[in-house]
Amino acid sequence: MILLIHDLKGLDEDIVLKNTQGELTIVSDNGKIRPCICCFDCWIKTPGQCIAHDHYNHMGKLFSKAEELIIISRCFYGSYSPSIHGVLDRGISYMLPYFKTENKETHHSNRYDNHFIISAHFYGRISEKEKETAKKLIKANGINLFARETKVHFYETSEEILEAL
Amino acid sequence: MKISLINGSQKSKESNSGLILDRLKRFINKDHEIKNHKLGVKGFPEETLRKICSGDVIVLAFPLYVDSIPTNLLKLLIELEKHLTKEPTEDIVIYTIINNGFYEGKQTHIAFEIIENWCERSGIKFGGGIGQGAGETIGFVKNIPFAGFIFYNLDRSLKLLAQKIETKEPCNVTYLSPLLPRFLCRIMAHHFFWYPLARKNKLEKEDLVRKPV
Repeated sequence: MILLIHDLKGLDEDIVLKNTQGELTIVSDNGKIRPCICCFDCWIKTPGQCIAHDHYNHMGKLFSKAEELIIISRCFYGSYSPSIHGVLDRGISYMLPYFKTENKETHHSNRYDNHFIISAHFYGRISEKEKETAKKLIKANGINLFARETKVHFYETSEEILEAL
Repeated sequence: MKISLINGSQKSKESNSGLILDRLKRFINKDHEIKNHKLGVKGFPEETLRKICSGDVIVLAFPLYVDSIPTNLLKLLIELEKHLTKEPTEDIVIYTIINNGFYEGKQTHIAFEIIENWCERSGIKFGGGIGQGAGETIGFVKNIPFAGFIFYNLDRSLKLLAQKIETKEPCNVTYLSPLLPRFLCRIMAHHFFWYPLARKNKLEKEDLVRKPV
């Protein structure tokens, strides 16, 4: 399954679904997403599932089924847009609370044996320094989300992304 | 001098960012006008944004989210950028204290870059700060007698940071880990933190590795 998380306004999701071969799941901020409050209940109360009652409490499970995670985000200061950030924040149930040490760094252990590809597409007026930060961010996210590969692309407008995809 | 302390945690209860700011406050001279702002999940009203932008120093404290900054803090920074570009000022210096759940404070370095990039867009001065590892432990050890020593280096760095804040002088980012070996921190996290919390919810450690499908 390809998991597409985007912040594009006016994206016709039906057309994208129709033109995609294979299974595609599209997630975007519907304006009612609840913020992750770091309660850790998705680790120690309902393991693997967020306790907030909205459409985003199953992000960990969605990550576990993805072969590729495509992120389309406006770039803010080398990071994601708040909409994308809010969705990704809700995915910590994808990992376990336990820690492991890898390359002299601590990271969480994986709950699932899944290693997707992350393709991040950033758009907007992005400085060279912000691009460098965004590349580091995706690399770090790749490590923490157990990705097997990460790719980062930059565009000036969101329309360019749709053409490229 | 007007100093805004912004707690960027999204927790509604006591947060480690709040505890760190309380510790910092002890080292700042009482003659300064210090305002505490707890961001939470609702954001700030216009009036608060104006007050923050008309001050001398901003101190941001927040936990690391997805190797970056919490969503609501990001929203606040976008709002502040709008204010600061409408009414430019070169007088504000921003200091940042980031805590993350991992042992190594160094893992906050990307979030520091994000704050630096925000400073460039907003036209204000990046003052450096502290990246603290094992931040979740700060609240955990605060009521355990003699356990506070593991954050002795945090207190020392906060004291130095307070001196820089009072003179609006920039400093380097200091990355800190608790004064315990990494393996011991890991064992403590599993046995004294996660397992007892799970048991409170009537779960065994085997339950924590469930894989919802």
